[in-house]
Amino acid sequence: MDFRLDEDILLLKENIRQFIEEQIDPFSMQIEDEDHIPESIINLSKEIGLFGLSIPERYGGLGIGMVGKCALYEEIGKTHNGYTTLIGAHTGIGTVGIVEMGNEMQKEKYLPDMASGNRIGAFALTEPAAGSHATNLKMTAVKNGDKYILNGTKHYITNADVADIFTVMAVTDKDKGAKGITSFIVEKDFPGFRVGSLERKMGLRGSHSAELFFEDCEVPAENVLGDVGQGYVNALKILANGRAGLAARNLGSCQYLLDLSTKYATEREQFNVPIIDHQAVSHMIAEMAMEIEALRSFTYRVAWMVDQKEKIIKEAAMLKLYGSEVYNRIADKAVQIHGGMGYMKDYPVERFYRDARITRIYEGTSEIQKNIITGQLKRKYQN
Amino acid sequence: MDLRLSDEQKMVQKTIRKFVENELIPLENEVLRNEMAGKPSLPEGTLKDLQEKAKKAGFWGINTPEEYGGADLGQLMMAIVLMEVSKTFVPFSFGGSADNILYYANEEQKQKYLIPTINGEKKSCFAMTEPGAGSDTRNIKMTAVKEGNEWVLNGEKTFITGGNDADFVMVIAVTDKERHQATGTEGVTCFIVDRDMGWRSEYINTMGEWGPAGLVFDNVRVPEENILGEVHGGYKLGLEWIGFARWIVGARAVGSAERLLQMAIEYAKERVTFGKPIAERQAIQWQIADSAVEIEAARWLVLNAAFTLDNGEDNRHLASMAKLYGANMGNRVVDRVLQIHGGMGYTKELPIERWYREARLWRIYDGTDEIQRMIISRNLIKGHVKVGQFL
Repeated sequence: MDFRLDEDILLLKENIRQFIEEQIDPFSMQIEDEDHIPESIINLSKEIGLFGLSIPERYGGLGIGMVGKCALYEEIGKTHNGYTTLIGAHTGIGTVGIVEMGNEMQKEKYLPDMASGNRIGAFALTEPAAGSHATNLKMTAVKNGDKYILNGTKHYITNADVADIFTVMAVTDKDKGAKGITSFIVEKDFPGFRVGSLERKMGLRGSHSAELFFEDCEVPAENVLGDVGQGYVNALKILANGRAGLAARNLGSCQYLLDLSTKYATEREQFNVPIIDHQAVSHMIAEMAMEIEALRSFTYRVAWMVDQKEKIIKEAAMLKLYGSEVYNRIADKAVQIHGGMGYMKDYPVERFYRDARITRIYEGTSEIQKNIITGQLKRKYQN
Repeated sequence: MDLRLSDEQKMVQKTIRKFVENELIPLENEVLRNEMAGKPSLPEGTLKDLQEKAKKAGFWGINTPEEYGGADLGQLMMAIVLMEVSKTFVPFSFGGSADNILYYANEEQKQKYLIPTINGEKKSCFAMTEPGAGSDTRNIKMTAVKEGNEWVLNGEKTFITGGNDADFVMVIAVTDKERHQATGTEGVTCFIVDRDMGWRSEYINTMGEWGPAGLVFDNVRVPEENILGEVHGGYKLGLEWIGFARWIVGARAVGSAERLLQMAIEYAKERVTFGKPIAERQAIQWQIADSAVEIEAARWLVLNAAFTLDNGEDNRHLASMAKLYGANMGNRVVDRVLQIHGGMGYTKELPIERWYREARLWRIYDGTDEIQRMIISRNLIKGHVKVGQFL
């Protein structure tokens, strides 16, 4: 048993920490004001390989495994969550499907461009009537010669506006329920595919989600990802991996908020002492630090399981649930410790508070994670 | 003991409720659109029209003494009115009122400041908080130095509600540094300062749609006759301004939470997942039940705080409890309501996210959660108040 990160990962982590702090974070206010991530910092991120976090070296990625990926996510989580989400959605649910389930031809065709960031990935499962209820999907894919014809609507699709490659779930046999769902790789230029208008949200500015419209959209049969009918299982695996990654990014945001709060509480004086010497504040900070350590241990434990090729459906649900709830509790405490300052737009804390709130909703709400956890536990006694 | 409202009180409540439903709620989409476009929530004219309508219905200066033309409904009725008005986020006040401490003005000041404020011709704000002095008023740095029959003010104030469009400010400055340092409560004075005497305001952007102001005083000269109350006696006014009606935050939270919970109930009945409405899931039901219980608890705490003041008793302890509990209840309820709405709740399609951002302020301004807990526990530990004494 060894809890230390490998030397090369530690070195990479330190480089990314510096990169985020020096090259990305200074743009946070601009991202927030303009609801747009400047191309210049996206390009810098591509240059240092951040878009290839999940991709093996063979296809131009970093090839660092899940533990390594989470170590870097932790650093990426320390800056504007819009940026974090754009990178996270691309390197998580946007590319993992092709890496894990793609055949050699698909990998060679798509992964090098995705690793370099020339083409950006997104994942499209959710529909207006099927959020976490994936087996309620309405989108259809009908085979026609060497093509599939896709019809339907997806919504709340992160990166919709910037993505080039979508991993899309559609129903190929509606009588078979979960076993009648298939995944497809859809390029944005395929005929019949269109991106809708962007959703306006409380937070995550700079990262956009939108509806996707498929109107007799033609997808070559060779773009079926994995086997026909295996889409639901694919989605579960991709989501589990994505959820673990999300927790790692949340971990970084939590750490950043703890650092800010501890610094502020040590400097800010009220009633003649730094507020960190008031027990109400000091105990808030202690709780924040404790929860972060628990989240960190849990995150790397699940990441390690992924690298061991273990099944993580239940653990990923627990980790996603815990990571999001911890992030929200910590953001709430950070605002409270900063008082009026924490509510001001000129200071980053209020932004994290708004950005944190979506983590309890997207990639499966907290309620759904609980359903999954108990669903997995119950099996043991049912069979 | 009769906890029901009188017929007259019920009638007022009903009238306000109708006003909110017919006049304010229909403006909600306009408010959201304006704010998203970076414009004021409502044009000045619309606000004036609304106030006129309310005035015709008899609601003007609802808590202003009758001798100044107000309705003087009392604190309990004000709490009930606020709960109704807070069922919408459309920013509205009935007008015809002035800050409580402005009534300490002398006759000349009353003519110049109080009466025009009540009549809606002038807007005021109160400024005590500074970047280094929130609830810890001993740290106030702004100075006022006497030169001839004028005082020269220098310093900064921050988070001043209404500071962006006030015509005059009631500002607290240190007039006797040694006395202030020695006592913490003496040696500060309250000045009425017209904007054209030279202070500036800067809008502060916040998480919510509400923005307070930072005020800058750079050698602002104020005539002697603009001292409000006594020289060196400003702290008393400050306390009165702050402690007077902290429960108002609680009343706002109750009204908002009621509306939000209703939205969640309706949504939960309509939204179907896994073959049935989410209202049939215990995870949702429990959130609804807990919210309803907490709303009732907060309601009666707020009403008790208001009732106690109407009764001529010191209500500060209850006011702090109502503020603390109400603010936290409001935050818990809006959090649950957002969760019940899922992704929809996070978007600007619905007003929930706006309410979520606004509610977070309740736990910070008018004394943070921590300050309320300090006050409440100090009262109990020092024996100023006994556990369970309020009945």
